[in-house]
Amino acid sequence: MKKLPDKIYLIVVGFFLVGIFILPLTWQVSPFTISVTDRLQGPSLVHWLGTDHLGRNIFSRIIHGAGYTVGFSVLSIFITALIGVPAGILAGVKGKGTDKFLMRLGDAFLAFPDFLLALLLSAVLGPGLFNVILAVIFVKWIQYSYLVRGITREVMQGQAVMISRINGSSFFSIVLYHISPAIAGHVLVLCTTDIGKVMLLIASLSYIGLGAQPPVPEWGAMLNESRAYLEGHPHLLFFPGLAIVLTSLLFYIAGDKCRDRLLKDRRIEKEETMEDRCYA
Amino acid sequence: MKAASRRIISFLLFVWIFSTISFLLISLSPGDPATTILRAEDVTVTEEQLEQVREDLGLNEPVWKQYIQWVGSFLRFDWGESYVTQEPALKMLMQAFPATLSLSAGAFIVAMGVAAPLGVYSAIHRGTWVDSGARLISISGASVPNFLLGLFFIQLFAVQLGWFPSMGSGTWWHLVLPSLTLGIGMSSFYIRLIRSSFLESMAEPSLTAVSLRGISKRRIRWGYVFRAALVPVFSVLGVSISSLIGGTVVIEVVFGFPGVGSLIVDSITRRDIPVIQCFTILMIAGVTFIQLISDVMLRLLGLGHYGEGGP
Amino acid sequence: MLEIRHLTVCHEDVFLLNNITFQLENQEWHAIAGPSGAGKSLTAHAICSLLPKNMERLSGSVIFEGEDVTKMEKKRLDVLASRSISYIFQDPRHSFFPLLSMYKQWDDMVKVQYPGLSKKERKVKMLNALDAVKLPAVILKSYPSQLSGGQIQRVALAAAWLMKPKLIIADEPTSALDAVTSQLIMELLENLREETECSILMISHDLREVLHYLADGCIIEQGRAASVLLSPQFTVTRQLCRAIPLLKRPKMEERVH
Repeated sequence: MKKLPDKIYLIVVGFFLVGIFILPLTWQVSPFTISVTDRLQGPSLVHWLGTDHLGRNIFSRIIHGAGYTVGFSVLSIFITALIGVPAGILAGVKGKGTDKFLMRLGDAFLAFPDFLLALLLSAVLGPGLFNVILAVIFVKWIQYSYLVRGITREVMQGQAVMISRINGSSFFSIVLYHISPAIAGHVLVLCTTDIGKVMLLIASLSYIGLGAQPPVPEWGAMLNESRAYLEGHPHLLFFPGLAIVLTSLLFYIAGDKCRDRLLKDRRIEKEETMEDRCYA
Repeated sequence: MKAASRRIISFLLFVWIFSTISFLLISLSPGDPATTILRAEDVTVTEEQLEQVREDLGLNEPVWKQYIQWVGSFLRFDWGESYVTQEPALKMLMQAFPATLSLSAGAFIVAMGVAAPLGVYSAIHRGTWVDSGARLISISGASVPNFLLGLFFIQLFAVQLGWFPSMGSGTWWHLVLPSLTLGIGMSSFYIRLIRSSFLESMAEPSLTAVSLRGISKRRIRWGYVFRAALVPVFSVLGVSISSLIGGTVVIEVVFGFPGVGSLIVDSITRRDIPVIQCFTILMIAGVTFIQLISDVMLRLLGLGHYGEGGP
Repeated sequence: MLEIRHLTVCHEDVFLLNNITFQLENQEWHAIAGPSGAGKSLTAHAICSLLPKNMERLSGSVIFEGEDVTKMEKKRLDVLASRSISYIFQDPRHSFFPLLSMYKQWDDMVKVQYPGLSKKERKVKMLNALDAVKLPAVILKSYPSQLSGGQIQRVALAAAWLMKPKLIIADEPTSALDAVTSQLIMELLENLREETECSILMISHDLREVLHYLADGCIIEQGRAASVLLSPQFTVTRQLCRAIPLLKRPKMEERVH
């Protein structure tokens, strides 16, 4: 896996992402059609990965579930970055009160592992996929702010910014020409590694019944629905499980490769140890 | 001392802010506690009954009045009764706590027992097959969620081999699979952490000087390098204990283990608000407290001096 | 006591040290000078067999007390390096492990050097050593990060004093320090030499009895410091003479002309 050329890997990930969004639209077999006569069948030509306890096509469910599991984790990380990055830049540039406030908040937040905080939040808000996504954003944005704030401060204290400030550059041009290039790589790497983690978070919460609710074919929820059949029909759990593992592996390695490519220094590694703790 | 008191004040402040937020979110969130209570009694519910219960709970009062009442009863350690079982929420949580504690302890032992030797060994003998194996474990640990690992273990050890019971609790045997799952899930992160921090501290420039003073390799490895390698491990110890608690929730659901995790997940799905509230506050207080303790510990062990740079 | 014969070190076909030869007698104080990158530190490292892994010693030998260091077993070398040679580093931060207090680090060292001493006797030894470099006993309780650069160098000197080495190698011990502290360190080194009767090989431009001037890995001038400086043979050495601190210059210029 590690020795795969980066280009091929990029193509694989690209195909995968496109597939996730295209396949559900073109795939005709409905993931919701219940057929009692077909229930609990093994893999066959008609039902490629078999059927579940309600006779629903597992392959179709996994394909549609990708939209939920992967799609929502991509979406929530996108929103997280959208909130966290500007907040971090603001704290880094403005300093003083904003910065202090953000850092206090961060100190308090970072004591909490992601999973626990997401659990507490969905406990308060009630179960549901939407609440889980809210929880993810709530948990994660501060990590982005932390990272961005650190780099921004470094850039702001650097010679280049000092000179361009002396020359009268505006706030926006400093952000555009000095700060954005410095943070882009770090944020991208953090996003890529986070997508896999958030996916696992959503799947875990769904598995314990706090995330996506049946009959939504989210992978974790699929596993939750079929856990009673572990003994007699393990294929019901095997395929969604495999989908989760392979996808998160895909993103994990993608993050690794991004890091090797984009970051020469090792800050992100330290950053990762900070928030890798969620699945520790 | 000043730092400590500041920490304690910010700790209390944080608990207060967070519990208030959680109170507001709960009281503003959709879902009617009255229906929850009456549904638990499993009879047909009339509108009068609902109204009666709402009146009893003070749910018809404005939110700020509810809040003052809630703070008052909170300070008297009257943390509410479960809507479902009518038992005090605090008591329910406390009853479930020992099971969770034993699970976490088991998992912690497994995690450290796996991660410490593997991490240190793979750092010292880089490039051997043990190192590759450790790397494999840590990569797969990052992509296999704990509940899947649990299901796999149930399938392998309980269903196929029949060595351990898959569900429930009571004996030590019931504890084996859950702690193994959680511990191995946790260890993947620690293997990586210990390995990289051991490697980093082996590159510490002053070790040349130390070895030139005639101190044996063995002593350097265990008395010096190991000590430096512990710093990152200790500095995340607080968070990792908290994440251990978070991890038990999933594991308890997977293994049907009757601890705090199972209780809280049940309560969340039933909207049993007093239990949720009690759990939330205890967790916030607990996590912040653990963080406080681990900071103090780091300082007491004299490890706080590391990374402060030279003179 | 220390004799270096035709020492040649190379790295990827580049000669870093070329045919270095010199001799250091008992209680002599030698200085190695030269522009940066000339191989001064490398020479010092080679004496303790501390060459980085990617460098190769092509030929030559380092004879210390009649034994060839380069042919020694690793274990024997470790013992020799710790018993008879003390090394003082350029960067004070490289001298002591940051995570242990000075007491613990010294205790480890004294245990190795003087096996069989009780805890109290060991402590007395440490205190004596600290006294010799005029540092208070509190130093023992502190961590390296709490000390200043000058203090650490003095502690390193005290450690050398404790070990009673036959040779002290000091790699620019004063370059990171201010002038006053440097002066103090030099005085302490002088005292140390008198008391323990050791020889000193110092990499420094603070010129001493015997000077070896290195450039591009070769010794280009060698001899009594005064004579080297008074009749420089090469451009580089002449440049050195000109760069010597102002106070010493007029006298020398008189004689040169």
